[in-house]
Amino acid sequence: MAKSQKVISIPKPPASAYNKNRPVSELLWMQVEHLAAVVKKDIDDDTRARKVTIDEERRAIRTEGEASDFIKKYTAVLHPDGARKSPTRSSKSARKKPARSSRR
Amino acid sequence: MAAKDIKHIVTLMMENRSFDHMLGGLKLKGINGLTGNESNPDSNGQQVKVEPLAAYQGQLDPDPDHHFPGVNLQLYGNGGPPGVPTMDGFVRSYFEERRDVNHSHKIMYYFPPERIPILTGLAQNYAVFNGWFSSIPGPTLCNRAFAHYGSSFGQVGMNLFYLNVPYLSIYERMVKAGRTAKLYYFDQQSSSLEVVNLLKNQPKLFGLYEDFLTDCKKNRLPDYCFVEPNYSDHESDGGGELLASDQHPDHHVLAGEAFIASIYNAIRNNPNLWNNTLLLITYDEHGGIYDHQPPPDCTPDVPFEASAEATGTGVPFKFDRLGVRVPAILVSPWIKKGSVIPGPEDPVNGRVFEHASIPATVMKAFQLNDDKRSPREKNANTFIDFVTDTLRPDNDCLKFK
Repeated sequence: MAKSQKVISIPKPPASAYNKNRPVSELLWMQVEHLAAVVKKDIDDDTRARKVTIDEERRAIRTEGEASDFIKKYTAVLHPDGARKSPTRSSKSARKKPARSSRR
Repeated sequence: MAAKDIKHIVTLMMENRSFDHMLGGLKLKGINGLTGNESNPDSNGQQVKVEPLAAYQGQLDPDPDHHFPGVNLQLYGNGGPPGVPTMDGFVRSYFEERRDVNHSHKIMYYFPPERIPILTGLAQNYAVFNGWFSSIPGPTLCNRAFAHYGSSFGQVGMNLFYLNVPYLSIYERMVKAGRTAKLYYFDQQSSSLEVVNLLKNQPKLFGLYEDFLTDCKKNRLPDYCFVEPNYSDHESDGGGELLASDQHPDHHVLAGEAFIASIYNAIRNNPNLWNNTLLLITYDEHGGIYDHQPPPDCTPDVPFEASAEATGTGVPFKFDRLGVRVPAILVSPWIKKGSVIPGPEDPVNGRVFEHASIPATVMKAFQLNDDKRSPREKNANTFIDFVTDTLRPDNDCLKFK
């Protein structure tokens, strides 16, 4: 008799798990810092204004969502091939939830 | 079929969970998990035992310390190297984050196996390493560097800028040898943690998670690849909510479970891949969370040495001892079901692995030669030999749905 196959259901996190307003973690902050450093390094001295803009954007980051916006913008500079639609197949919360307005 | 016939190796590296936290409650023959009697003193001197009370989210906030000085306290308590780590400073270290004695006890919590069915299922059905350690008793980036380069080039922190490094990454070595290699990051909002060197200088080595799924489906998977989870909660371009799947506290652990399952399924569901692919699932470091197994000494990463100032402990570090133990599971239909690979608890047969074992194994599996490798990588144990000569029948291999 054929052996029955073990099948495990993939668990789903609750929608309440999502919080793009979580304060930015050190890990994301380092990503931000590294991206800012490498992008600025490639900018000529005569475009100092752009460097200042990057620094202003960087300093304004407080939340995970804001960090991910910055990371997206400057990852696209380093890796233009990756600039396409975000995946939607996994790690997606169960329902759309309004973003929280407060910053932590 | 045997080890020499493995055509693809895939590494999935998650974030910041210790072995005991994720797998310590698992009952498998030979596993070096928890007995339930392990304890640490809290800041009042009361002994705090491990308990199966780990929560998916909301428990390890603020983030436990996992910088070099914090890990030093976790490993040695009030002492310090040299000597065997006492593993009794975890609660006192976590107390420093919130100055709340009760909250500090949560660093001893672990998951009952049924609460994390994906990792548990993989551990029960394939091979668990009893002795896989993070490469450095420190944070994320220096540890991940060992998986990419076999060295962190003397760094023990998060600020890696890779100037004039003496070793190529494993991906560059593969390409140089005519092989294919890739790093897949989740999406551009999450990006890679290999920004400064590889993403900046070698963008052609990168793809997205979506590409990984497509490459698996269309038989285009590179010989070697490294997969990064989603590091942040963020909106997709279509406005949907994407949960961080890295399992870094305080991200939801089940989102990581679903991500691990998706990587497994992408390989498992293509018969052309499943029979010739080796998947390693591991974690970069312990994230400050308790593990009972003292990390062993290792080959020093000569010529590198972190200064007393860089370590923050007042003592220099020669990269001659490993960081805290992390989960590591080896997956393939050629792996014996329910295997436990002995570690330092078995002085006769035990073998110690660390992240430098990853490039070392890839080099060995694809028969690459490059003498310009770190002493740590050259001396690292490799894991290709756990591939047996016996292919398990398809219906003996786990499925996730």
